[in-house]
Parts: sequence; C-alpha cells; structure tokens
Amino acid sequence: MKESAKNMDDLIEGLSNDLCKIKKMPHPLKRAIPWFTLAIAYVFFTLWIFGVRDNAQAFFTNQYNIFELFLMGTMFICSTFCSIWLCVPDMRGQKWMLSVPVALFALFCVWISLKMVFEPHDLLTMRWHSCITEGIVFGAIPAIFLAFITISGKTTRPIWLAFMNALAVGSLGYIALRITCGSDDIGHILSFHIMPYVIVGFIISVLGRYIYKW
Amino acid sequence: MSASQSEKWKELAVLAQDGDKRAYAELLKTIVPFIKSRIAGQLANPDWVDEITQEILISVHKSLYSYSGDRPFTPWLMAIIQFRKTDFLRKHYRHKELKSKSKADTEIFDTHVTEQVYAGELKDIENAISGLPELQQKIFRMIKVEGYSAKEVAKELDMSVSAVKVSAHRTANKLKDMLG
Repeated sequence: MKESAKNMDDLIEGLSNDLCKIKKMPHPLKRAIPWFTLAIAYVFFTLWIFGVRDNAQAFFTNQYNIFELFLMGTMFICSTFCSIWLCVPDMRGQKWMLSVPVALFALFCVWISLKMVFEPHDLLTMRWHSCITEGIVFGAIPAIFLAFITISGKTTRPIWLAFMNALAVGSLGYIALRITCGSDDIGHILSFHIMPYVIVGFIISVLGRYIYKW
Repeated sequence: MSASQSEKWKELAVLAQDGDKRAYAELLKTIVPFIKSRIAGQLANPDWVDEITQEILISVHKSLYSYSGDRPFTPWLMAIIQFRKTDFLRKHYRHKELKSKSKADTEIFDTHVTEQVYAGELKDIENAISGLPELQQKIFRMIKVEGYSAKEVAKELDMSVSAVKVSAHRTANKLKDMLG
C-alpha cells in the first residue's frame, strides 16, 4: 500500500515537474473555421475542374433536389461541428449535438429508401465507375484535413468521432457528386455516389478506436 | 464533492495551464481521492484502482490544454475517468479471453508463448522486454534492473525526470499486460 502511494506521489511529482505553460485549445468554433473554409474552397475548385452537370438548370429548379442538397448541406455543417466538439473530452457539455447529424442521417436514409421504392431505377451494381474516382477526389483532401484537426484533439468517444468525420466528408462529397454527375437514377446514385462513402465510413468507424488513440 | 471543491479544481487547472507547477501538483493530488472513489466500486479487482488512477493522471496531463477555464472542471475530468476505465477493462478482458483458452489448444502456444519450456520463467520476461522500443527498454533496465534513480537515468539519456518516470511506469504496465 505504501509502495503504491509512493508510486503515485512519484508520478504526480514527475508530471508537475514536466509542466510548462500550455497553449490552450481554441474554442471549437474557431477550430471549425479553417476546415469549413478549406473544404468548401476545395470543393468549388474541384467543381471548376470537373464542371457542373449539363442539365444543371433543370436540376436546380427541382424542389426535391434542392431539399436533398439542403439536407446534405445541413448534415455536413452539423457533423463537422460534432467532430470538432468531440475533440474535447467532455464535448464542453454539448453531448446533445450528436443527435442532430444522426437524425439527419436517418432522414437521408429514409429519403433514399423512398426514392428506391417510388422511382424506377437500374439494378445496383458494384464495379469501378468514374463517379467513384470523382468521389475520392472530392473527399480525400477534406478527409485528410479533418483527420489532422481531430487527431490533434483528445476525444473520449473515438467511434463517434470517426462516424462524424465520415458523415462530414461523405455529405460534402455527395453534394459535389450530385452537382457534377448528370445521372439522377437512384440505382446509380446508391451504387457509385453513396456506397463508396458508406464503405469507407464503416471502415473508419471500426478503426476509430485506433485512429484516435491517445 | 462540494461545489467549492469543484471551483477550487477549476482555479488550479487554469493556473496549471499558465505553467504553475505547484498548483498543478495540488490539483493532481486532490483529484486522486476523487478518481479512486469514482472507480473503486466499479472494479472487480481492487488492485486495478491505482493502475487506472495513474493512467487517468497521465491522460489529464496530456489533455490539460483541452480544458476550458470557462467550463466546470468535474465533467471534463469525469469524461476522462470513464474513458480510461472502459479502455482498461476492455484491454483486460480481451487479454483474459486469450488466457481462458484451453491448454489443449496448442495453437495458443505457437502464437503467444515464445518457447514452451521457458513459459513463465525469466526468459519470457526477457523476451517481453526485448520486444519493447529501444529507449523504453533502456530506461526500464536502468531503473528496475540496474537500480539507477530516475534522476540519474534522465541525466544519462538527456531527458526530463518526469519523462523517465512516465516511461518506466508505462513499460511496467505494458509488461504486466504482456505477461498476464
């Protein structure tokens, strides 16, 4: 018992001797600004490279498409905020925030399911397609940047953090793909726009505990 | 824990962030009984309490920069306590699952015991140590085998005393995990 108390005292002494003035973590809102700026600027840049879809005017006047883009945009913003707040051990007391992107994601799943039921569509296929390449291009840089921001934090919910990162990057990539790809076929969207992000997101979520270990 | 205690911790944490070593040592000392009281009742083995408490203190040290002085200290600390406790138990039970394998299952010897004839003997300890990174090995051997003090090791390796102590502590924990 005495030895364990001595060990504890030694550790405390060691840690306090090791202390120097700490640069405090900025407010999560301030940490989110560089990510938003870079991610949005990057997507605009890639949209400029790939060009918008031929039937863009018709696409942007369709209320269902506008709803879908609005839904994904909101999910992008909310999941980004959650990712940044999750970098603080207690999320600064804002645990409720997690429910918002989860609810939006559930709504998106329902939306896609309804489209699958009510719209005629191609059969789901798994093969390489140019949309998958574009999806990787849209998602890779924002994903690396977001991972860089979040790994520098200290999360106590690594799986949630990985999931939120996947949602943030996935929703941004999905918006970009919908603007560049001319196809509105739900089979195509599910196979080549959504599925790659879902697979990568699932893998990242499973590995979250290792990625965000500290 | 009283509200005044929580306020006191908050003040100490803010001072510690500004580099006040004395305030930091006081903070760590005063949170130890709180941490122990929070985890003691939830563990099957009372010997784990000290081990997890030390892990939590190291985590507090690592994440102190993420604490915001305009927020209460206790929820921040509780989040770390929960996280480290769960992490420890997860590791422990994963290891236990491994140990619960039948001895008739010879595969386990091939993958987890270097040489059956030396199982449980000094050779296993030596092998476990030699599997560690070189610097950790050196620090551990100098302190635990050769009997040097942390100060002497720090001087020899041009490191801070606390870094040496933390490394030795972690290595001991790692070896405990490896050797069961």
